[in-house]
Amino acid sequence: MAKKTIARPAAAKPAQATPSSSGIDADLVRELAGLLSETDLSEIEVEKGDLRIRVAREARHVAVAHPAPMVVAPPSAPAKAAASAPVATPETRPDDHPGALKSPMVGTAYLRPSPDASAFVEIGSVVKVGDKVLLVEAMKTFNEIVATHGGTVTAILVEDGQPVEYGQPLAIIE
Amino acid sequence: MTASFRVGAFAASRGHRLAFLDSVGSTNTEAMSRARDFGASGPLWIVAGEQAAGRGRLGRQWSSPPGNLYASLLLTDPCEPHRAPELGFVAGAALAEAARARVGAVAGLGLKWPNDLVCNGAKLSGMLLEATRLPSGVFATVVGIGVNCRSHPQIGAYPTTDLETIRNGSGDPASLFEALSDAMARALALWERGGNFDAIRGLWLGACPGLGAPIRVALGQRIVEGVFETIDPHGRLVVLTAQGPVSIDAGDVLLGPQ
Repeated sequence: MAKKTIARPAAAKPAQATPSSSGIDADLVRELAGLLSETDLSEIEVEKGDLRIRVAREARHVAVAHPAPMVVAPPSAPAKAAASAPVATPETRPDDHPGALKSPMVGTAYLRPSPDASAFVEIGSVVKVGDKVLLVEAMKTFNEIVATHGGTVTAILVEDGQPVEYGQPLAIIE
Repeated sequence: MTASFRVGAFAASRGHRLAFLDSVGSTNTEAMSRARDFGASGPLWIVAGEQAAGRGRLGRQWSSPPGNLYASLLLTDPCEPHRAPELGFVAGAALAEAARARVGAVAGLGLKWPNDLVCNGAKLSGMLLEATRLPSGVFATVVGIGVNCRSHPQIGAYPTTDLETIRNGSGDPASLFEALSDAMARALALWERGGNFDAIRGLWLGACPGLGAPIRVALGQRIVEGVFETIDPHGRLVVLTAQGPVSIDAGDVLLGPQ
């Protein structure tokens, strides 16, 4: 149900670049467009130096409660990675979203305290600092993932029972 | 009853404290609540004579009549969060040592991955480890340990037993707790916040009767069958299957007849 991507409505044009003094990097736009369909995202925005490129398309499905600011890569590293990495490698994730809650350990994510219970949060839930958002179990240790800041849950990036990696973004609160 | 429960001398020397309650909902919930709501810091044992709402994994109920041990150890900032799962092995090794101190060297008594105590395939104990980040920002864990001392529930899914059944006179929960608190304090010191997990792994493997034996592990609906080879440096279960070794970090080791 919760898609492992952030989808955002709107964004009509298939591709749009915002060139700066550096001019348009056509290869980068093409690469980002390829990433977009590959990852099923609706929009990608990167910054490299003073060049800022946003690639967007019409979303096929909407998994957010309201339009949310899309992942904006901070200036250097991730943008560079996106620009230089081969198309097949990167799986675009909201790693650098300031509102991302990340997994502190390798394990299995759970969205509810027990199989029959309702989920801790849903997209659109308003949470405050310390509220449980999900659980990550590793070798029978249940780690509560609590909100580190208050806000609205705009994305749940994992499914119930999904294996997760160390540092993997699990949900976004903004 | 209150007076009979106390932490062992070594645990006390390491600053481990005890709060005993005749009855509580869940010792884990109580321990976490004291940390979250009242700023309690560890190491603090919460021990109860009985639990009204004993909890197991994933919301399962833990049968908690008087006469058995219900103990939860609150630890504040015990390690980096990603090392918290190692605490299950620290506690498992400590519990195996404490049980041996009570019943002696009984063949077939030992650990089932990752941290249950069993005797010839019958379950003696269960653990529930929970971790969270407190409002203060401090990472906290609670190691909940339930041990069948004087009685054991009849669970359809797997065989169970208790210490008293294994050896007459060994079922006193307070004596087990005293031994456990010392063993736990020693194991925590040995572990060095995860810096020396290898030593804990060695203790754990030494207390595991199932090494080299056939094993079945449920991974959701799938069952992995093979030979229990070892646990790897992260504590994962390594099963040698017909297709080669498989490392497992989440799964239920199945007890009972094959």
